[in-house]
Amino acid sequence: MLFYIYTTFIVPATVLIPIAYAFINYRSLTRAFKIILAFIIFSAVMNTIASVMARGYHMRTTGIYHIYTPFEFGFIAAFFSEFYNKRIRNILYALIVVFAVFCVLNTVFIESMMKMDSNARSVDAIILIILCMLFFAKNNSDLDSRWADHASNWVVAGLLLYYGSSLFMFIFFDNLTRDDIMTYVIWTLNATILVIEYILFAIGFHKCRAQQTISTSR
Amino acid sequence: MQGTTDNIYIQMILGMCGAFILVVSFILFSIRNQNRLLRQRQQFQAAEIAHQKELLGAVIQSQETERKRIGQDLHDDVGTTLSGLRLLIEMFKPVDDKDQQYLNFVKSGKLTIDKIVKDVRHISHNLSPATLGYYGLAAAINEHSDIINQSGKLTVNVVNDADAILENLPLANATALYRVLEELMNNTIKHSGASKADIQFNSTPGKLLIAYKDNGKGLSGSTSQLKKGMGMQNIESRLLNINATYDVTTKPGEGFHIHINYPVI
Repeated sequence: MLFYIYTTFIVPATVLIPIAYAFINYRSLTRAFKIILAFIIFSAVMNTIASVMARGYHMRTTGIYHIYTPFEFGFIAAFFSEFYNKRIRNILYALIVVFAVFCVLNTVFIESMMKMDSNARSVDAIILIILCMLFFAKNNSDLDSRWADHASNWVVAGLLLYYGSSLFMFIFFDNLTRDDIMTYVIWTLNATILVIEYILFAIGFHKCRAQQTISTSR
Repeated sequence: MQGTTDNIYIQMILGMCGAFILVVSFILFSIRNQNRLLRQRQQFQAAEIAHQKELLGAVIQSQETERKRIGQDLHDDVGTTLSGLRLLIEMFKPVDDKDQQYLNFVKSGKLTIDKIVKDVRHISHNLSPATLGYYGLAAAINEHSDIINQSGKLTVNVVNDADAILENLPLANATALYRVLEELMNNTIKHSGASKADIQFNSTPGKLLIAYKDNGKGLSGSTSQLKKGMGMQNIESRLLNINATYDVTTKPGEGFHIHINYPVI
């Protein structure tokens, strides 16, 4: 029961924290942060649909993940592309298209809609971990301000924490459709990491305003 | 089969926890590393600024020493020689001491020498005001403003409500503030067309506040544009060297105001 309340109501509700912070600071948000806001809203909508389907109508929701994964990758890769020059940006856009094609092929030929898209989500997580690492490698040489003053650092930390920690879960994703206590434990762990990610996103949105104040006063 | 599945679950949980710890550690190390690099750079910049200040201080000090030497040489050597020359002219006795040409020569010669002596004294005073060393900043500023007031070009009004601080100012810092006020008065005379200038010394605990204002034509442009001028650069470097800050407010037709804030140690 506790697991049910936690994963069905509490965790999905925490998505409102970054959304609220984003709208409070909306005028200070750069394009990259608006992309992240769109991603969070998209996630919230997909999550609600999946919850209603699973809890309300007892329908299988694995198909939702097949649709969600390429969009998730698209949003996050587009977020990262905002921090690079035109050449790298184009490479990232091309990567989004290639990954979407890979997801379709995976669904058609390897993992059907009736199974979890373990392969696609694992590849998605690995690429996003690499993008997070590249971002930190690039940003660590920026010595103009403290790490915590960069709004984007908080968002990327959230992404790295979520995809890094959940990679093992994504690899064995297909085992998580069974109804037993261990599955609940893993889903609860995943949900907790998701809450941490949302809190880090909220801090990032909050820092956007502070960052703008600093740059204007200069 | 059930045993294998349970094993996978445990491995998944362990993997997730391990990865979580790894990622958190990576982020924390990354933050610590970047903050350490940032701190090192700030320390390096602070050391560089301190070194620049030291160099500036040395330049200003050697400039003051040289000014003092030239001022003293002018006062002692040239002044004494001119007094001797005046005495020689007075002592000279021609055959006919009622000769009008001789009397005219003596009169104009003495007048010219008196003027040169006066000019040399002014130049010597400007180069190194002796009053500053003997009686302090307030007396030196009063003396300088008296000279300006006598010229009739400008009326300088000095109000001193910070006697205790001014008396205990170190000579190097008093010299810096004197040079700044001297530069401000020169600027007022040369550029502003003002008829009146006010200098006010005030104090708050640990601070000496100097307010200077004139009723001249003022200046247009931003503070950063004003700072580009040679005079303002001199003022800025002198104040920077004694850790003082300043704030300029000026508008066309509204005069020139500057507030100097000098922290007293």
